[in-house]
Amino acid sequence: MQSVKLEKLDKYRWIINPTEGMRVPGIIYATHDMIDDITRDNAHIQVANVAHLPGIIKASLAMPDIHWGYGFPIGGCAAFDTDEGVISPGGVGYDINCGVRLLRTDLTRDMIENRIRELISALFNNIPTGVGSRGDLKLTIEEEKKVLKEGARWAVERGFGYPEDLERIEENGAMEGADPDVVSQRALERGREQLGTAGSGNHFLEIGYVDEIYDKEIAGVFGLRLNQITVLIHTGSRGFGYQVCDDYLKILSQYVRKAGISLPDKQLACSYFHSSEGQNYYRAMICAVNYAFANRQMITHWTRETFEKVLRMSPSDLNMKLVYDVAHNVAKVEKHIVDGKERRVIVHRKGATRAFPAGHPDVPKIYREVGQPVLIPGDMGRCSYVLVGTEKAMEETFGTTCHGAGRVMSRTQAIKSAKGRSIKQELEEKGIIVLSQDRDTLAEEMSDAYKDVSKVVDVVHMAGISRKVARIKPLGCIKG
Amino acid sequence: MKGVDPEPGLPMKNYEFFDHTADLGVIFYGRDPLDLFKNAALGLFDIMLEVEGDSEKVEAYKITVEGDDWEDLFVNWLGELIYLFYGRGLVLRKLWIDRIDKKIIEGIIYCEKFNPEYHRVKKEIKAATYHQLEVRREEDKWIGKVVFDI
Repeated sequence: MQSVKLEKLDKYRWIINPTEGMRVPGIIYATHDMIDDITRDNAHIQVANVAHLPGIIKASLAMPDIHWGYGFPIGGCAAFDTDEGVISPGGVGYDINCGVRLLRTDLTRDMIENRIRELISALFNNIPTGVGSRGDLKLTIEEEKKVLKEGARWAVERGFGYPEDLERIEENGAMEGADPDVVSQRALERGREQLGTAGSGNHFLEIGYVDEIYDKEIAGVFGLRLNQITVLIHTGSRGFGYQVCDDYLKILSQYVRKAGISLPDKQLACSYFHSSEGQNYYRAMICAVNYAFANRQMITHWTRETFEKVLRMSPSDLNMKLVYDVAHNVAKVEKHIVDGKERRVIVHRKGATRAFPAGHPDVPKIYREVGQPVLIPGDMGRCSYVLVGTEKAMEETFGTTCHGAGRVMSRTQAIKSAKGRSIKQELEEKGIIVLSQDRDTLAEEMSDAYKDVSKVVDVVHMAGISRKVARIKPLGCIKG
Repeated sequence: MKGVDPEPGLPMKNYEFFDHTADLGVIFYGRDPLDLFKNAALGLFDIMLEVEGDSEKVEAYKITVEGDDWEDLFVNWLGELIYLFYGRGLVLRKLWIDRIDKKIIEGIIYCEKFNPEYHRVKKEIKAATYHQLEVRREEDKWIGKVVFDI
């Protein structure tokens, strides 16, 4: 195993100075306490490996929730020159546009505290969650191709939600450039029955309440207030995205051999962004991005319906509004200032969230005066955060911040350490109702298996690459 | 290498898990490559599903998977089976391997259609990855080590 030396840059940043083959340094946002977990996992070596890739600009970056990932670390961010640089499926991940959306309501905690169990079990029945869960919907391939191009707009036009939802989704719920013709038949088949399903693993739907406000003014603009009931939805592009990633890892592995690109790890398979292979992956990836936006839009619609039915409230009384929807596994072409010059770059965010500041044209008009909402889900027993993007993120991290807690325990370790415990009961004692298809999932996803999200968020807040706005505590959760 | 008689149902545990922070590491075992690939196929379905009772209709499908070497073949083989389950809703019950070498595997798989009444899904697997991938002979057995993205 190669040795990679981390040096402290300042209180919240560590640097890996370029050694042979590295084109830029690696920078990890973390405190001293976090470094042991990061290095134990060899995730820092992955940060260094990414720095070898052609056309990488400024630095190979990692957020404090960094852990080992396929090729690129999870919690990683890297930008490449669109003319001389590469695009890599490993820099996006298998679950393309895995992401989070936050819904707010006009309900307060005291209004529904004794109805959580009922709501959770109704949501569990109405939203397919578990492994290989298939929706009620079976799309024709032609219809599925429309989803790939139109994203959340496809769903809204078919009655899943409101037109005003769209402006509160990154890319307005449909990223441009999707080309269904570069998607394999296999991906289309895997995606056909899974639209409108949450999936398993760390995917979830959570009812919570705002328990702390850090910035009253910005929280107000986001429509958040103390004790307000919220819903967080965390899922992605399901089997469709996994298959797109799998297909293109194979294609790009061959490309790497053909083009003679030297890689420190073959899982960094990539191709020049301007090459036809690179463009094809990018356009197929966008299809998966749009699939995921549509997926979360449909789940939002069923969530609204479930709340209305269980609580016997009208849509206007419930007033369940979308706060925002962020993608945390994605690659996008963006303009950034590098060394005083504007450059067009392809930013990879894998387990990392876009965090654009006030005034940025890609921030929806309603939020443009304060900045983009950033949603950071924690584990099911602790809390989640709403942050806001900053100018410093633009300067240091290509407008990027963390995405969640990050695992510290393997799934098998988690199951072992949960033996003899009822995670469900432990959570109920803390006032959190959970339902899951599978007992093992609850053990795998228990709080102890994750870093404390508050520590992760404190790093990005103190480092200034996003700022805390509000904290959300869970009341109930459905897991795949 | 010639095929052996297909055995009904799932064999004893011919695999074990190894630790991996984010994903699922599995080591499959076999007497020879044919046995390894067969155990890995049945083991994969054993990890993904619990089969309760006998389902109605088992159908035979021809399967051919190619690769550059043993490892590439192994990951492609597992990838093909993952796709058959998630893309086509096929649950593997038994298989007959006609031919295997490090570039190709050919045979017949006997599958039933996924039906939630008989099949309880235990674990969602996104893909078989090249990470820590190993296929090799170790004394009197063959091992196939793979990390599944889950």
